[in-house]
Amino acid sequence: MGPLEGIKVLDLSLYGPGRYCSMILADLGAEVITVEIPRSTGKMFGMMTSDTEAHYIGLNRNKKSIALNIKKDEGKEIFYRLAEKVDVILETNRPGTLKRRGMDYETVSKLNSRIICCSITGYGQNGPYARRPGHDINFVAMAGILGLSGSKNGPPSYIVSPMIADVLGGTNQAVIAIVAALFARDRTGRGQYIDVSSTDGAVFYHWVHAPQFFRDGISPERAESPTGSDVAWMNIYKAKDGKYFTIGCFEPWLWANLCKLVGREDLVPKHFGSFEEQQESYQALSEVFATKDRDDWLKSLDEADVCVAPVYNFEEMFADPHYKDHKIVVEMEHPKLGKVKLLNTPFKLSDTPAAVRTRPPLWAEHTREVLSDLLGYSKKKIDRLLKEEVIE
Amino acid sequence: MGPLEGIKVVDLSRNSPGRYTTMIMADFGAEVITVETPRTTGTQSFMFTDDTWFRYVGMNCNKKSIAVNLKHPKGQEIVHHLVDKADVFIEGFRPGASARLGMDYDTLSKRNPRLIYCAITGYGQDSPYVNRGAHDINVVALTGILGATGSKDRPPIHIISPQIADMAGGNIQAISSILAALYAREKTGRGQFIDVSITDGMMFMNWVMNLRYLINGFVAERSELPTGSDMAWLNVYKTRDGSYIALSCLEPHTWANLCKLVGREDFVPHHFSTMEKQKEIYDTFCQIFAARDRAEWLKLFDEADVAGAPVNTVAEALSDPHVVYKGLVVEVDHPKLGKVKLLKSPYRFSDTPVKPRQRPPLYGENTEEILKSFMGFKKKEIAQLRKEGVIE
Repeated sequence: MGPLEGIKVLDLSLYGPGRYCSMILADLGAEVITVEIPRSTGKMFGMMTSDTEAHYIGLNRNKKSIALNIKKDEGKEIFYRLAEKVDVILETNRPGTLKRRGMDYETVSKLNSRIICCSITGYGQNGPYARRPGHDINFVAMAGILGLSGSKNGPPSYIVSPMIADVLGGTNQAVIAIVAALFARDRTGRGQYIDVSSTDGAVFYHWVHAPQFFRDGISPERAESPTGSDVAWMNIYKAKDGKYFTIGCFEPWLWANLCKLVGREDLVPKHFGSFEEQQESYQALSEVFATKDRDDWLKSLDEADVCVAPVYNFEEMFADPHYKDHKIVVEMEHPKLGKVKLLNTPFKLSDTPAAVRTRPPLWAEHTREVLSDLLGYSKKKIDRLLKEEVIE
Repeated sequence: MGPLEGIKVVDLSRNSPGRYTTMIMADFGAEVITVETPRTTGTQSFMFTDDTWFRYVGMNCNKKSIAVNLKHPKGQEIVHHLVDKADVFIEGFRPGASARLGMDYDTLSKRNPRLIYCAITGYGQDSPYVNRGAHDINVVALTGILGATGSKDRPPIHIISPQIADMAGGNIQAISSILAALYAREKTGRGQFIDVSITDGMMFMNWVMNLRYLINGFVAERSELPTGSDMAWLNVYKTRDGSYIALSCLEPHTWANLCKLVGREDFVPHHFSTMEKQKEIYDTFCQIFAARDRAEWLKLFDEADVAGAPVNTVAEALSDPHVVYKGLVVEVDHPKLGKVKLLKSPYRFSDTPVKPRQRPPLYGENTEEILKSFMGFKKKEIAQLRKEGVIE
């Protein structure tokens, strides 16, 4: 029994930020119905409609899938009937789209006053850029993250995955707001509207650099160093075998542990020293670390109580004992793909555990089931709607 | 009235994953009491104890602060009394430390079975690395992200801000689990234990790369291009004035809009083509974008419906018309610092709005008030405890 058992979510989103949000809600026990656009409309490109693509497989487990053409009157009618029965509606259209279609919070809340509607967009429902299209790279650029990533001697470096603004600002801001609104609804009896802006959410997570900027008035810049970090205590070092590892010794005693281990106690007082001292420490440590292989360093640094971790590629990573121990990957049977591997939920609640319960659905696998079980439509009516391409 | 009005939180964490979690809860209307270590113990770095330091200011808004010596039996007793009246307890100790202090879940849940207890650690309560310290850079490395960030002919690049693992893996896992557990408690009547592993959370949020590996066997590597991204449609380009723009044209139609805009409709069919072709398009685009200033391009993108954005510095980001329009930066009065700028909560609830920003407390500012209101302590007893170094 997950914590959100009994909650019904209707997901109108198409891309990662919305789909991952509803997947987290599904992992937590909610019944999620994803609404696809029928392929017969020819509106969608292949990546979005293939139920064997990595994206589709990875974003839709624990969910039900229906396909509904909301541009047809009867399609919209089905949407309204579903809206009456669910607790949450999630959508990621450009601002104004749902209002134009009569599917916005104002309309839906008249049918169901307990409904919680959440929109995830790049820039929010209003503001100078509300109409501008955008993806993660644009939002991290806007939020000052991209300009800060990489080295001054090169262009800004984009972090391809995870998509920071989508994940931090979009997906998870939405999960948090929706669960908070569900909690509030138990006491107020009312639903509400949640306006998630991925850009605003990303800016909010500059918890170090924004307050620092507010204090000093100096905009932080990309690092001088090729690793993107100008401090020796938090950096990336190369071992003898060419493999990289990271050091993160923020606490003075951890830094001291490191300096002692490598016989450079003279560096202890330079922990938070000037740029020149940091360069000197980085250089000194680089020379030491180049004398042994990565795994040897991991072992001795671990024993000395230093915050250390290897820079893994994906093959090394999934073989790491930690991930095995934590069952980070689950395997499920899939009718088209056979055995398929998925990322397990990281949520660990002792009393109401989250879980991967059902395999990703096939495209529109549950249209018939949802219309008949949830809305009580007859087989005959469903057959007709299928024929008229209102549903798929 | 925020969604968490009436909820009481006791926060024993020191670092951002916990402190930012409780700040979001405070924004949502919860009463958050941060328990600091008395400065008289001399064990804490100034970064944690200086209430005018930007880190402290940035992550303690809307909270109350008390200082209690957790190693003193009387201090432990005070925390027990706080917990008796609390809904949520958060700590970021290394596994095992809370039991030594008599503050583990077993002990506290016996006193208060409705308590939701959240422990935030780098690797979780059990792991081959359970005794290893961890900071953001280590987790980013261990989860394969660092190894895939940056360009192949250079070292991996660390993203300085936001600290993605601490935030996406720690803060977000913690806040969503706690909210879900609060929601579940309405029905079960019971609290529970939440074991947040920042590494596991980060792994889960890195969904694009992980799924491509798990489902397609694709091992993510650093990019061939200097910007960290190997796709021309998702990249960073330099403009005539030396600034950068970020482009993302995932949808076939926005890609076509871009190609048309720059007069290279021949690129339209090569949207998702080979690395060689991507490089050719990237090189061509580099020349094209170098011909005009950033502001000109942004205007053109808006007119052509292309997803573009300026690569802002943190200063530009925080004064961008969007951020100003949304009021994401607020100013409050601080007794020691005068006017202080803070990041506003990005959460927008229509019915239960977040609490306006109140200044962060001074270190231990509310010790006396809390001991009186929670435990009914008299002035004399409080003076005695202070004398014994139990509180500050």
